[in-house]
Amino acid sequence: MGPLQLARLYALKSLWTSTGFRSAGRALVDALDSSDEGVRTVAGMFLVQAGKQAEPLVEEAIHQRKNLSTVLVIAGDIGAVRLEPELRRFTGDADPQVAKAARDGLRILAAATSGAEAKQ
Amino acid sequence: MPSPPMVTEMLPAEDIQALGFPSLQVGAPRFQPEALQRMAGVRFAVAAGAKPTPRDARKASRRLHEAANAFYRNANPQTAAALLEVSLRHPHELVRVAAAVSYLDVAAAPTPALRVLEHGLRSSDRLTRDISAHALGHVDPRNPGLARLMEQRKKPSSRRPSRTSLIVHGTWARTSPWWQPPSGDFWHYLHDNVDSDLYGAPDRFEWSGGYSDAARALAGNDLGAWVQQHNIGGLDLFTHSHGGSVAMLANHAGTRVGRLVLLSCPVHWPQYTPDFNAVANKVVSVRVHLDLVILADRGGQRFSDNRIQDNVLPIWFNHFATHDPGNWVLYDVPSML
Repeated sequence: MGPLQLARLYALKSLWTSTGFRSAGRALVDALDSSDEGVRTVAGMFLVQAGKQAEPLVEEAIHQRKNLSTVLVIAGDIGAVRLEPELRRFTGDADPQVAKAARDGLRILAAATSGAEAKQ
Repeated sequence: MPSPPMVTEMLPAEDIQALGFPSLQVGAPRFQPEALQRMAGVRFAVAAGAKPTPRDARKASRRLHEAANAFYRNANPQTAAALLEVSLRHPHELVRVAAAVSYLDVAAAPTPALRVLEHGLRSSDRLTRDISAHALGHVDPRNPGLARLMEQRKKPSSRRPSRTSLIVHGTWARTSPWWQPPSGDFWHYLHDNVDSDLYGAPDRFEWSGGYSDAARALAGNDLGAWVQQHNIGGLDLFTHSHGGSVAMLANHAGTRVGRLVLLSCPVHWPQYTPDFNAVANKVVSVRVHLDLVILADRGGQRFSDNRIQDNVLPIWFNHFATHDPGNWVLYDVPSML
């Protein structure tokens, strides 16, 4: 990943988070499948940094089975409690990587939620 | 002798120089806020504090561009200080906190900057909190707001050191091939050339690769449990990216480490730090110039605590270059460990 690719990801993130333009956010979800490890990594980071704003996109990706082994973990990272039933459903997935990601997503979600409750 | 407290250096000086950012001499004269506001062509209603009034924030936003231009046209202590004076009322707290850090070096009175930093300690944004904590740690180490960060750490375990070593992957990298035994290129290279005791059984440690404090905290606990279960306390850890943060969390929770190798590890000090009392050998950082993934992570690029041996490869931007066996050979990374 070079500076131009990073700049593109920043632009997508900025467009999505500041205007709500969902296609820009979807481009970040699509980038999770990039052949470039740097692009994949930064796209995932930006989705998590957007927090709750990423939840509808993560939900959409889960329904479309798009980059599941990453988006299921992202669901946990962003504390998407609403998606917990979806995560539970995938713990029994035929693909062991997907099932593992779903279990991880649930663990992270539980830890993040209990951490947030402890702060209140 | 204990090392001085470390400040996260967001961008190393040589990288800033290479990019052409203006630089200034240290030890500049100190200025009164009124003089700086005159220079910036603005007059704020109230002194800078925890949070600007909406009116002052609007004024700051309007003047910021011109103040920044003035600095870039003629970089000197006055134009820099005027830019900081305006930035202290910026609507975004991260900008205010960043300005406050430097304002301490140019202002006749530090109180406004200290108020901004104290408020920054309670920010919901991790980077804002980190910057505030680092700056306050320097100028006001007894500040009550820092007390939470100064909690007693757990004592190291007395387990006997072992010679085993392990790779800890980073964010989103659980399924990446490079670290997987026995065929991953980096695992293979380390095992054959650096440490034949590198752990390679099918139950090797892995974690979710999630990008959150919660994911890393779980992974730190899991790593500690894994080490205990395998009875290999004192092992060497080769970590990449936030795998280093995971290793440092486990280390603080009592896992003894022989040698801790941090490859392209984002610096989030003091959130993720080694427990130097529980590292038997040494802590080594290997990184590249201006790592773009670390930039996106909002982490620091370089550890500046002198107990961490810093090595920078002559490579720019590439976060993954530090686990490339070709670069280990080309730049003789084993000699840095």
